[in-house]
Amino acid sequence: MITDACVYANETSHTTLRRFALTAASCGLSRIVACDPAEYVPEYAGVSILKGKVIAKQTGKAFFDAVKKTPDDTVIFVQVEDNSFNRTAITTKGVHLLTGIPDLPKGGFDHIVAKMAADHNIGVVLDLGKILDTKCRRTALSQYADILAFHRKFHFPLVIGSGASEYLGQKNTTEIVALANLFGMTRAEVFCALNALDGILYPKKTVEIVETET
Amino acid sequence: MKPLPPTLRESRRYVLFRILGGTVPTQKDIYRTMADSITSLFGDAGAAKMHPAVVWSNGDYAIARCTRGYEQSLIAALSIITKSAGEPVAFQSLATSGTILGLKRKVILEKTNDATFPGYLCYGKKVDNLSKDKGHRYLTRDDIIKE
Repeated sequence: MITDACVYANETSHTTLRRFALTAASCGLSRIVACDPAEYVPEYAGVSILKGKVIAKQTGKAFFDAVKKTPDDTVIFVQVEDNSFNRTAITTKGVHLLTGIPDLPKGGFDHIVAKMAADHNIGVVLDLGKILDTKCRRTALSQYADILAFHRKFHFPLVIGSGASEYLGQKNTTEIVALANLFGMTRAEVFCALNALDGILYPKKTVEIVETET
Repeated sequence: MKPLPPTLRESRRYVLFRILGGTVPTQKDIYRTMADSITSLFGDAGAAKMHPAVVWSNGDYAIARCTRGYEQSLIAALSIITKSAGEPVAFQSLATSGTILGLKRKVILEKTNDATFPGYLCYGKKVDNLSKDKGHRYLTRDDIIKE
Protein backbone atom coordinates (compact mmCIF):
# COMPACT_ATOMS: atom_id res chain seq x y z
CA MET A 1 0.00 0.00 0.00
CA ILE A 2 1.32 3.42 -0.90
CA THR A 3 1.55 5.17 2.43
CA ASP A 4 2.10 8.71 3.59
CA ALA A 5 3.93 7.92 6.82
CA CYS A 6 3.00 11.01 8.77
CA VAL A 7 0.39 13.74 8.70
CA TYR A 8 -0.40 15.84 11.74
CA ALA A 9 -4.18 16.02 12.09
CA ASN A 10 -3.94 17.22 15.69
CA GLU A 11 -5.78 19.91 17.66
CA THR A 12 -3.81 22.80 16.12
CA SER A 13 -4.41 21.68 12.54
CA HIS A 14 -7.14 23.43 10.54
CA THR A 15 -7.69 20.35 8.40
CA THR A 16 -9.85 17.47 9.54
CA LEU A 17 -8.70 13.87 9.27
CA ARG A 18 -11.35 13.15 6.65
CA ARG A 19 -10.07 16.00 4.51
CA PHE A 20 -6.54 14.64 4.83
CA ALA A 21 -7.81 11.25 3.67
CA LEU A 22 -9.76 12.77 0.78
CA THR A 23 -6.69 14.68 -0.41
CA ALA A 24 -4.52 11.58 0.02
CA ALA A 25 -6.94 9.68 -2.23
CA SER A 26 -6.64 12.39 -4.90
CA CYS A 27 -2.83 12.21 -4.54
CA GLY A 28 -2.78 8.50 -5.34
CA LEU A 29 -2.08 7.30 -1.80
CA SER A 30 -3.91 4.39 -0.22
CA ARG A 31 -2.98 4.85 3.44
CA ILE A 32 -1.96 7.64 5.80
CA VAL A 33 -0.59 7.59 9.33
CA ALA A 34 -2.11 10.34 11.46
CA CYS A 35 0.21 11.33 14.29
CA ASP A 36 -1.55 12.24 17.55
CA PRO A 37 -4.93 12.71 15.82
CA ALA A 38 -7.64 14.84 17.44
CA GLU A 39 -10.27 12.38 16.19
CA TYR A 40 -10.04 8.94 14.67
CA VAL A 41 -11.65 7.58 11.52
CA PRO A 42 -10.35 4.15 10.43
CA GLU A 43 -11.10 4.68 6.74
CA TYR A 44 -12.40 7.42 4.50
CA ALA A 45 -12.67 7.80 0.72
CA GLY A 46 -10.93 4.45 0.22
CA VAL A 47 -7.90 5.56 2.24
CA SER A 48 -7.13 3.60 5.39
CA ILE A 49 -5.93 5.64 8.33
CA LEU A 50 -3.54 4.41 11.00
CA LYS A 51 -3.00 6.08 14.33
CA GLY A 52 0.51 7.23 15.13
CA LYS A 53 2.20 8.48 18.27
CA VAL A 54 5.40 10.50 18.42
CA ILE A 55 7.51 9.90 21.51
CA ALA A 56 10.17 12.49 22.27
CA LYS A 57 13.29 11.99 24.36
CA GLN A 58 12.53 11.05 27.96
CA THR A 59 14.40 9.49 30.79
CA GLY A 60 14.82 5.71 30.65
CA LYS A 61 11.75 4.51 32.57
CA ALA A 62 9.41 7.22 31.27
CA PHE A 63 10.35 6.29 27.70
CA PHE A 64 9.69 2.56 28.22
CA ASP A 65 6.38 3.39 29.95
CA ALA A 66 5.34 5.64 27.07
CA VAL A 67 6.06 2.84 24.57
CA LYS A 68 4.28 0.24 26.72
CA LYS A 69 1.17 2.37 27.28
CA THR A 70 0.69 2.94 23.55
CA PRO A 71 -2.06 0.70 22.13
CA ASP A 72 -1.00 -2.13 19.81
CA ASP A 73 -2.73 -0.69 16.73
CA THR A 74 -0.69 2.54 16.93
CA VAL A 75 2.43 3.22 14.91
CA ILE A 76 5.14 4.41 17.30
CA PHE A 77 7.52 7.12 16.12
CA VAL A 78 10.53 8.06 18.21
CA GLN A 79 12.08 11.49 17.86
CA VAL A 80 15.80 10.90 17.27
CA GLU A 81 18.28 12.44 19.68
CA ASP A 82 21.84 11.61 20.66
CA ASN A 83 23.44 8.30 19.73
CA SER A 84 22.82 6.45 23.01
CA PHE A 85 19.12 7.35 23.06
CA ASN A 86 18.71 6.24 19.44
CA ARG A 87 20.29 2.86 20.22
CA THR A 88 17.97 2.42 23.20
CA ALA A 89 14.96 3.37 21.06
CA ILE A 90 15.90 0.90 18.32
CA THR A 91 16.23 -2.01 20.73
CA THR A 92 12.95 -1.22 22.50
CA LYS A 93 10.19 -3.62 21.54
CA GLY A 94 7.20 -1.88 19.99
CA VAL A 95 9.04 1.02 18.35
CA HIS A 96 8.44 1.16 14.61
CA LEU A 97 9.98 4.32 13.21
CA LEU A 98 12.63 6.94 13.92
CA THR A 99 11.68 10.48 12.97
CA GLY A 100 13.10 14.02 13.18
CA ILE A 101 16.24 13.36 11.12
CA PRO A 102 16.85 17.05 10.20
CA ASP A 103 17.03 17.92 13.92
CA LEU A 104 19.69 15.29 14.60
CA PRO A 105 22.64 16.46 16.68
CA LYS A 106 26.09 15.98 15.13
CA GLY A 107 26.96 12.29 15.00
CA GLY A 108 23.45 11.30 16.11
CA PHE A 109 23.04 8.69 13.39
CA ASP A 110 26.14 6.66 12.65
CA HIS A 111 26.85 3.34 10.93
CA ILE A 112 26.22 1.40 14.16
CA VAL A 113 22.73 2.91 14.59
CA ALA A 114 22.09 2.20 10.91
CA LYS A 115 23.10 -1.44 11.28
CA MET A 116 21.02 -1.82 14.43
CA ALA A 117 18.01 -0.29 12.65
CA ALA A 118 18.46 -2.82 9.85
CA ASP A 119 18.76 -5.73 12.31
CA HIS A 120 15.68 -4.69 14.29
CA ASN A 121 13.67 -3.70 11.19
CA ILE A 122 13.15 -0.12 12.41
CA GLY A 123 12.28 2.39 9.71
CA VAL A 124 13.59 5.91 9.32
CA VAL A 125 11.12 8.61 8.29
CA LEU A 126 12.06 11.10 5.60
CA ASP A 127 9.78 14.03 6.36
CA LEU A 128 9.26 16.00 3.15
CA GLY A 129 7.67 18.85 5.11
CA LYS A 130 11.16 19.81 6.27
CA ILE A 131 12.21 20.38 2.64
CA LEU A 132 9.37 22.88 2.20
CA ASP A 133 10.58 24.91 5.16
CA THR A 134 13.21 27.39 3.92
CA LYS A 135 14.88 27.54 7.34
CA CYS A 136 15.82 23.87 7.53
CA ARG A 137 15.83 22.90 3.84
CA ARG A 138 19.62 22.73 3.46
CA THR A 139 20.07 20.71 6.64
CA ALA A 140 17.24 18.37 5.68
CA LEU A 141 18.60 17.74 2.17
CA SER A 142 22.11 17.05 3.44
CA GLN A 143 20.92 14.82 6.31
CA TYR A 144 18.59 12.88 3.99
CA ALA A 145 21.47 12.33 1.53
CA ASP A 146 23.55 10.88 4.40
CA ILE A 147 20.67 8.68 5.55
CA LEU A 148 20.21 7.48 1.97
CA ALA A 149 23.89 6.49 1.81
CA PHE A 150 23.47 4.49 5.04
CA HIS A 151 20.27 2.92 3.68
CA ARG A 152 22.06 1.79 0.50
CA LYS A 153 24.78 0.15 2.59
CA PHE A 154 22.82 -1.35 5.50
CA HIS A 155 19.33 -1.75 3.94
CA PHE A 156 17.23 -0.55 6.87
CA PRO A 157 13.71 0.45 5.82
CA LEU A 158 13.10 4.03 4.74
CA VAL A 159 9.61 5.50 4.77
CA ILE A 160 8.44 8.79 3.31
CA GLY A 161 5.99 11.12 5.02
CA SER A 162 4.65 14.47 3.92
CA GLY A 163 4.74 15.82 7.50
CA ALA A 164 1.75 17.97 6.58
CA SER A 165 -0.26 19.78 9.22
CA GLU A 166 -2.64 21.16 6.56
CA TYR A 167 -3.93 19.42 3.46
CA LEU A 168 -1.93 21.87 1.32
CA GLY A 169 1.25 20.15 2.48
CA GLN A 170 0.25 16.72 1.15
CA LYS A 171 2.09 15.67 -1.99
CA ASN A 172 1.19 13.31 -4.81
CA THR A 173 3.52 10.55 -5.99
CA THR A 174 4.94 12.63 -8.88
CA GLU A 175 5.88 15.41 -6.48
CA ILE A 176 7.33 12.97 -3.95
CA VAL A 177 9.56 11.50 -6.68
CA ALA A 178 10.68 14.99 -7.72
CA LEU A 179 11.39 16.08 -4.13
CA ALA A 180 13.24 12.87 -3.28
CA ASN A 181 15.30 13.36 -6.43
CA LEU A 182 16.74 16.51 -4.81
CA PHE A 183 18.75 14.38 -2.39
CA GLY A 184 19.55 11.64 -4.88
CA MET A 185 16.79 9.12 -4.31
CA THR A 186 15.75 7.22 -7.42
CA ARG A 187 12.16 6.58 -8.50
CA ALA A 188 12.44 2.87 -7.61
CA GLU A 189 13.74 3.71 -4.14
CA VAL A 190 10.90 6.19 -3.62
CA PHE A 191 8.23 3.61 -4.42
CA CYS A 192 10.01 1.07 -2.25
CA ALA A 193 9.96 3.60 0.62
CA LEU A 194 6.27 4.42 0.04
CA ASN A 195 5.45 0.71 0.33
CA ALA A 196 7.86 -0.04 3.19
CA LEU A 197 5.48 0.43 6.13
CA ASP A 198 3.86 -2.99 5.67
CA GLY A 199 7.24 -4.66 6.06
CA ILE A 200 7.82 -2.77 9.32
CA LEU A 201 4.40 -3.34 10.87
CA TYR A 202 4.07 -6.94 9.71
CA PRO A 203 7.63 -8.27 9.29
CA LYS A 204 8.18 -11.57 7.52
CA LYS A 205 8.88 -14.35 9.98
CA THR A 206 11.59 -16.90 9.36
CA VAL A 207 9.23 -19.68 10.39
CA GLU A 208 5.52 -19.35 9.82
CA ILE A 209 2.97 -21.89 11.05
CA VAL A 210 0.35 -22.54 8.46
CA GLU A 211 -2.73 -24.45 9.59
CA THR A 212 -3.83 -27.08 7.13
CA GLU A 213 -7.19 -28.79 6.93
CA THR A 214 -7.06 -32.43 7.94
CA MET B 1 18.90 39.83 -30.36
CA LYS B 2 17.32 37.96 -33.23
CA PRO B 3 15.36 34.88 -32.14
CA LEU B 4 16.95 31.51 -32.87
CA PRO B 5 15.74 29.63 -35.96
CA PRO B 6 13.43 26.69 -35.11
CA THR B 7 16.09 24.07 -35.84
CA LEU B 8 18.43 25.56 -33.24
CA ARG B 9 15.82 26.06 -30.55
CA GLU B 10 15.85 23.76 -27.55
CA SER B 11 12.93 21.43 -26.91
CA ARG B 12 10.48 22.41 -24.23
CA ARG B 13 8.26 20.58 -21.84
CA TYR B 14 5.05 21.79 -20.25
CA VAL B 15 3.81 20.94 -16.75
CA LEU B 16 0.15 21.21 -15.81
CA PHE B 17 -0.45 22.08 -12.18
CA ARG B 18 -3.39 22.85 -9.99
CA ILE B 19 -3.52 25.71 -7.51
CA LEU B 20 -4.94 24.60 -4.17
CA GLY B 21 -5.82 26.82 -1.25
CA GLY B 22 -9.04 28.73 -1.91
CA THR B 23 -7.57 31.88 -3.47
CA VAL B 24 -6.48 31.94 -7.10
CA PRO B 25 -3.45 34.18 -7.77
CA THR B 26 -3.03 36.03 -11.08
CA GLN B 27 -0.77 34.61 -13.78
CA LYS B 28 1.87 37.25 -12.89
CA ASP B 29 1.79 36.24 -9.22
CA ILE B 30 2.06 32.58 -10.22
CA TYR B 31 5.15 33.35 -12.31
CA ARG B 32 6.77 35.43 -9.54
CA THR B 33 6.15 32.73 -6.95
CA MET B 34 7.46 30.01 -9.28
CA ALA B 35 10.55 32.05 -10.22
CA ASP B 36 11.35 32.75 -6.55
CA SER B 37 10.97 29.09 -5.69
CA ILE B 38 13.23 27.95 -8.57
CA THR B 39 15.88 30.52 -7.64
CA SER B 40 15.85 29.55 -3.97
CA LEU B 41 16.15 25.85 -4.82
CA PHE B 42 18.52 25.82 -7.82
CA GLY B 43 20.03 29.31 -7.87
CA ASP B 44 20.15 31.80 -10.73
CA ALA B 45 22.30 29.54 -12.90
CA GLY B 46 19.83 26.67 -12.55
CA ALA B 47 16.91 28.97 -13.30
CA ALA B 48 18.64 30.29 -16.43
CA LYS B 49 19.14 26.74 -17.74
CA MET B 50 15.55 25.83 -16.96
CA HIS B 51 13.94 28.80 -18.79
CA PRO B 52 10.77 28.75 -16.67
CA ALA B 53 7.60 30.53 -17.75
CA VAL B 54 3.88 30.38 -17.07
CA VAL B 55 2.22 30.04 -20.46
CA TRP B 56 -1.43 29.57 -19.55
CA SER B 57 -3.74 29.78 -16.57
CA ASN B 58 -7.47 29.32 -16.16
CA GLY B 59 -9.16 29.14 -12.77
CA ASP B 60 -7.35 26.67 -10.55
CA TYR B 61 -5.17 25.33 -13.35
CA ALA B 62 -1.97 26.68 -14.90
CA ILE B 63 0.68 25.44 -17.31
CA ALA B 64 4.39 26.12 -16.77
CA ARG B 65 7.10 25.73 -19.38
CA CYS B 66 10.70 24.58 -18.99
CA THR B 67 13.58 23.20 -21.04
CA ARG B 68 13.38 19.46 -21.81
CA GLY B 69 15.17 17.44 -19.13
CA TYR B 70 14.31 19.87 -16.32
CA GLU B 71 10.73 18.69 -15.71
CA GLN B 72 11.61 16.97 -12.43
CA SER B 73 13.36 20.10 -11.19
CA LEU B 74 10.37 22.25 -12.14
CA ILE B 75 7.94 19.89 -10.38
CA ALA B 76 10.15 19.93 -7.26
CA ALA B 77 10.26 23.73 -7.33
CA LEU B 78 6.48 23.94 -7.73
CA SER B 79 5.85 21.52 -4.90
CA ILE B 80 7.85 23.51 -2.32
CA ILE B 81 5.65 26.58 -2.81
CA THR B 82 3.55 27.32 0.27
CA LYS B 83 2.52 30.95 -0.29
CA SER B 84 1.64 33.16 -3.23
CA ALA B 85 0.86 36.88 -2.86
CA GLY B 86 0.66 36.42 0.91
CA GLU B 87 -1.98 33.70 0.75
CA PRO B 88 -1.38 30.03 1.60
CA VAL B 89 -1.41 27.96 -1.59
CA ALA B 90 0.01 24.73 -2.95
CA PHE B 91 0.88 24.08 -6.58
CA GLN B 92 0.07 20.43 -7.23
CA SER B 93 1.69 19.07 -10.39
CA LEU B 94 -0.65 16.87 -12.41
CA ALA B 95 0.90 16.02 -15.76
CA THR B 96 3.81 16.70 -18.09
CA SER B 97 3.59 16.94 -21.87
CA GLY B 98 5.41 18.20 -24.94
CA THR B 99 2.46 20.30 -26.05
CA ILE B 100 0.16 22.77 -24.35
CA LEU B 101 -2.83 21.28 -26.14
CA GLY B 102 -2.11 17.86 -24.67
CA LEU B 103 -2.27 19.30 -21.17
CA LYS B 104 -5.35 21.44 -21.80
CA ARG B 105 -7.24 18.25 -22.64
CA LYS B 106 -6.54 17.00 -19.11
CA VAL B 107 -8.02 20.06 -17.40
CA ILE B 108 -11.38 19.44 -15.78
CA LEU B 109 -12.91 22.73 -14.76
CA GLU B 110 -15.14 22.34 -11.71
CA LYS B 111 -18.22 24.43 -11.20
CA THR B 112 -19.06 25.78 -7.76
CA ASN B 113 -21.91 23.84 -6.23
CA ASP B 114 -24.09 26.65 -4.91
CA ALA B 115 -27.13 24.48 -4.20
CA THR B 116 -25.99 23.35 -0.76
CA PHE B 117 -24.57 24.71 2.46
CA PRO B 118 -25.01 28.50 2.31
CA GLY B 119 -21.92 30.14 3.77
CA TYR B 120 -19.62 27.39 2.59
CA LEU B 121 -17.63 27.25 -0.60
CA CYS B 122 -18.01 23.75 -1.97
CA TYR B 123 -15.96 22.01 -4.63
CA GLY B 124 -17.10 18.42 -4.97
CA LYS B 125 -16.78 16.67 -1.63
CA LYS B 126 -14.26 19.15 -0.22
CA VAL B 127 -15.41 22.16 1.77
CA ASP B 128 -13.46 25.21 2.88
CA ASN B 129 -15.15 26.76 5.86
CA LEU B 130 -14.39 30.46 6.17
CA SER B 131 -16.42 31.19 9.27
CA LYS B 132 -13.93 30.15 11.94
CA ASP B 133 -11.96 32.82 13.77
CA LYS B 134 -8.63 31.23 12.88
CA GLY B 135 -9.31 31.67 9.16
CA HIS B 136 -9.83 28.70 6.87
CA ARG B 137 -10.91 25.35 8.14
CA TYR B 138 -10.66 22.51 5.65
CA LEU B 139 -13.43 19.92 5.91
CA THR B 140 -15.42 17.43 3.92
CA ARG B 141 -19.19 17.28 3.63
CA ASP B 142 -19.24 14.34 6.01
CA ASP B 143 -17.54 16.49 8.65
CA ILE B 144 -20.34 19.08 8.40
CA ILE B 145 -23.04 16.41 8.68
CA LYS B 146 -21.26 15.01 11.71
CA GLU B 147 -20.96 18.46 13.34
